[in-house]
Amino acid sequence: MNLLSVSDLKLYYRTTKGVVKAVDDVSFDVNKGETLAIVGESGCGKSSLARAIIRLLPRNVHKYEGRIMLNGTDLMSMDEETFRREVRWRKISMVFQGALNSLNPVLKVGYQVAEPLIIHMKVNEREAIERAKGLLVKLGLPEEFAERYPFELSGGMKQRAVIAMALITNPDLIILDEPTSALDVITQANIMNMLKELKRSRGQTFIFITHDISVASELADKVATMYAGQIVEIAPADTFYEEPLHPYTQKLMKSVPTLRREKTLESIPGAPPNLIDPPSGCRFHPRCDKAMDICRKEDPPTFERGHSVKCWLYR
Amino acid sequence: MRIPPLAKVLIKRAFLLFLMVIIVTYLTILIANAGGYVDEIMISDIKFNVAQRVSANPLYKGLSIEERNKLIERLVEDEIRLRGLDKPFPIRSLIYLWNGLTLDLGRSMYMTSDTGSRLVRLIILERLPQTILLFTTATVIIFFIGLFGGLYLSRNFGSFLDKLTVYLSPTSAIPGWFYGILLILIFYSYLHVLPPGGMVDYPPPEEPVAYFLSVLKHMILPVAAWVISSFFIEIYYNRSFFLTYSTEDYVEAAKAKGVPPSQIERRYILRPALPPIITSFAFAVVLSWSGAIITETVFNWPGLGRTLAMAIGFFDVPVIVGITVVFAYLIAATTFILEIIYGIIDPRIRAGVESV
Amino acid sequence: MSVSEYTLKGIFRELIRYKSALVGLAILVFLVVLSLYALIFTPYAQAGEIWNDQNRWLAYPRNAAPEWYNFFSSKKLPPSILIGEGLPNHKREEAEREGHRVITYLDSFSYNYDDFPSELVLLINTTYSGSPPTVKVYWIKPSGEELNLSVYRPRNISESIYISNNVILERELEEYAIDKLGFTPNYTITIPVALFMEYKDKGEPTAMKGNYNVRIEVTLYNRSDTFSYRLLMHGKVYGIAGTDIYRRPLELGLVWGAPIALSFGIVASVTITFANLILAAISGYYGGKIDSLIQRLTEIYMIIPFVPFIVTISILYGLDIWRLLLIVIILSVLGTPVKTYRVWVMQLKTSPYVEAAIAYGASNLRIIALYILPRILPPVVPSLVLSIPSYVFLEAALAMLGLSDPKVVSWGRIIEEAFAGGAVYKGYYHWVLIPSAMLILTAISFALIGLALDRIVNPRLREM
Repeated sequence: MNLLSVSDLKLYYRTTKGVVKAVDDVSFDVNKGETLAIVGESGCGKSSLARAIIRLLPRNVHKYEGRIMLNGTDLMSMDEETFRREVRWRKISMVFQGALNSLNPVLKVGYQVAEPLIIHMKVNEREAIERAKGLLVKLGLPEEFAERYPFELSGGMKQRAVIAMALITNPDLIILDEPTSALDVITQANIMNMLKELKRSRGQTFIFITHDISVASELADKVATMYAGQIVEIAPADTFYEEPLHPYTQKLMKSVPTLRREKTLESIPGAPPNLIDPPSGCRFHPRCDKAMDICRKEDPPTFERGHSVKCWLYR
Repeated sequence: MRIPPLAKVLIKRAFLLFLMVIIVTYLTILIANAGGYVDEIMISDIKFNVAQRVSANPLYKGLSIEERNKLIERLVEDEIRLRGLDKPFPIRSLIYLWNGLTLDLGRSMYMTSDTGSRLVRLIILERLPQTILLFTTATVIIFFIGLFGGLYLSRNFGSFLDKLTVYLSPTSAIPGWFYGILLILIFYSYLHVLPPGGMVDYPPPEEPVAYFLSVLKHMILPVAAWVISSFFIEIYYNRSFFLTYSTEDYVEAAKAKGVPPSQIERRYILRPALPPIITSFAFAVVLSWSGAIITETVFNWPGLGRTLAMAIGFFDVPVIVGITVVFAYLIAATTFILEIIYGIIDPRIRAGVESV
Repeated sequence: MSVSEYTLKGIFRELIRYKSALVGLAILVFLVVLSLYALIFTPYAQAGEIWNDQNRWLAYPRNAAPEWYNFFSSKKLPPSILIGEGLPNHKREEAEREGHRVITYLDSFSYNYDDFPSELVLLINTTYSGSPPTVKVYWIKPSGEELNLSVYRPRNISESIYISNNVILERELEEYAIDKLGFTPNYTITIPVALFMEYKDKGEPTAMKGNYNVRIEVTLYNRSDTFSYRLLMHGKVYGIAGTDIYRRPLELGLVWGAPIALSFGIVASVTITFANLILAAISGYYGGKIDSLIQRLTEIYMIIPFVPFIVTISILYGLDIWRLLLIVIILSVLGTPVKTYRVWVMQLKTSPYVEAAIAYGASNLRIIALYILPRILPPVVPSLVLSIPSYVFLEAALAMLGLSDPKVVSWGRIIEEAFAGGAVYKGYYHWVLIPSAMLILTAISFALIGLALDRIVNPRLREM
């Protein structure tokens, strides 16, 4: 059985300019121990998807429906208090984009890492902080950092602390939203190594969201491409990088520089689509060089050609 | 002995604030003495003292009036030379500065304290507690109304109460003392339910509880006047603060973590927002000292402000100068207390990092 | 708070969309029109003189309420009534008796009010050689009763005879009224009351309504003597705003106070804000020693007790209103806003296009004036507008303390005069409330505009 099974997930929100269809009919599965990477351009809805799963809805939410099954339980049908007590951080935790501001500036780091234990596991404060310290050490931070405040830590250290915070309750699933985007390359590598170690030693399930395909490749078992609020392709990692099927994914691959080989970089013409008023039919058709007539008229369903791909080419 | 960094920061600040009081006092003296007023105060003070000494001294009893006056003149000149008051202005001004800082403010020209003394220091110290009582009460009430009102509204953003507060915030453009006038017209002139001024009934009740209640009754209108004036704008500003702080990333992270909503409000919104709230509150307190003068005049409240107003009416320069100096001390003291509170709350300051 | 991306023009265009701001602007326009009217159509330069001149106002009633008060009161108060030569319902007959000219005048007027006039004044212009004329005044009520208001002999060419101050007459008329009533009432019978009263068995006195006639018999002792007169009954209501204890029509005071309030508030606020901005820009941009110096000075400024200082300076040096304004500005040139603006300037200094300007060699002054100041101005505009009321009230506060410029008529000064004249105790509410209303109106208009601007310039709060 899948650990996480998402079907027809929708998240729309209202703005002064119209309804933004940030997540528009998204479906995917994640197995236990797997890492699913979700890649896409900025503004394609990846972060909204993460928030939709962990139910961090904005004030101006317009539509939030679909099915999110975690270990067989439908999360969407839970009321907020039950969700808070049973799912938040105990089953699903999250490492945020721009985690540099995820820590409360007036609380000590150790306390914040320990807080989920205190709240959800009813562990007393002293023991919780001890456990937090242990976890920080395991992630490469000195023990006394638990007594420090966030402003005393560098970006990379804060990120480790935030990851410790996400791990401490041993959740079934951890969502990472661009965890390394704001970091320098070396720190980025360190963090990725740490994540790989966690995956290996604990069999941790991850959803890894990023716009950087090369970073995703280090951790991912499965990769999903997201475009204009929809998932257009989900493939096992090797297939994704060697033989992507969807034109968008293919273009993405061609736009990434490789370290050694000579490669002419191609960019994708046009601009990311407007989520309030997306193009008709297949949302990628204005920028697709393989676009056909039907692409302009009808939104393609998801076809199975070894793996899922949402493109009329594979009818 | 290791001094904690917070203490170091505070000691430095205390020192700086005191330095500023010195400068402000000196400024006051310069301004006041540009018309020679402070010189006059000093000399008349000396004359008074010498005359007292002479008339009290049995040795001089037998002197005729002429002889006595000559004696007083000579003694006054001696005294002036002794105190260095015949020196050029820069030196004199420093002497006055020292006097001002130590609150040795001379004698008033017309006004007296309740005990009959003309010592400016006594006059001021007698009235100071009443001012502190009234204004501390008002500012504390306003602070908490603003805090909890703002918190409540930030939670119920867009609700009717929220819109109402926004629409009614222009009422805060009118200062408290002005509302005081209107309140007196309504509750005294028209309805006759509350007293139009003063601190306590006349004659004052003997029994402590009755006295206390009487003071309370007289505090209702002036405090209400300031509360009404600051009510909507305090809530509005606090609400804006809280809204800004509640959209911080770490608040969202806390929500994702499953922190209960009450704890989020307390630890993730309120705590980080406290420093700027305290800063704006400090600003309001300092402002309220200035408004004290008119308010006390309107309500005939026997505090420092009204004393200043009366001194203006009498043109009693020593009192005016003295009160200005005391106000400078008050402001410095208030600023300092608030900086202590600020330091306790903000860990960055506790760690010795001074705020921008 | 980050620096806004709005331009000034954009802000004003947005502003019009807020209803509250439109109300505020409407009030402001009204006040500006009032000020212009004061400056153009009234002898504004002599306003203080005229206001202080007690002799100018004798033709006006004392402590009259505004005329619209009668809308709300069940008891109708009379306005001032003037009868006599040159006015309607005036008859004149001349005859000769015993060798002297005797002129009999008859004036009539209708009176439909419940309350009584406050004073009766006979205004006489006469020239005579030898004996002054003899003037007999008779009062005829609608009921037909005739009351003898005594005999007067005016001595000066121009004389005002306050009939209502005639103590002997008052006692006579009081006895007459008690006689007619049949009992001694518990209200005081003054001359106006006696002349107009209904004879009721009980309750508050009310005036008899109907047509009144006044007959004046003047005996002139010389052919060449001349005589003319008017009878003024001072009312209890007057004009839009009533009058004060010195008989001054408050509507004039309201008009004259408008330019003061507006100019004081706006000039103070604009000058101080710009001074703050420029000093903050210098401090934040140049950094180093200049920055430290300005910062220390700012902290000193924050310890200065503002009102006591102004009071001290004002009383020791006798300031007129414009020098007072100057002192207020000097004492506000540095303050808490400077600290805030300085942070913005420092943020802007590291922004790419400022760095680009430095790179291509723009002078510091140019960068500050053309790049930095225009960018930090938009978020400053709301507080600029919002601080205008506090300066308007500052002027009023100083007036309340008796420190106002005697050559200037301001609303605060009128309120202070009201307090000194006992308006609170004697119930002359209009004297306090009407100038107060003007102050409140001014404050609210700027507050509405300022708060709308605040909502525009804080985009985060708008989006939500």
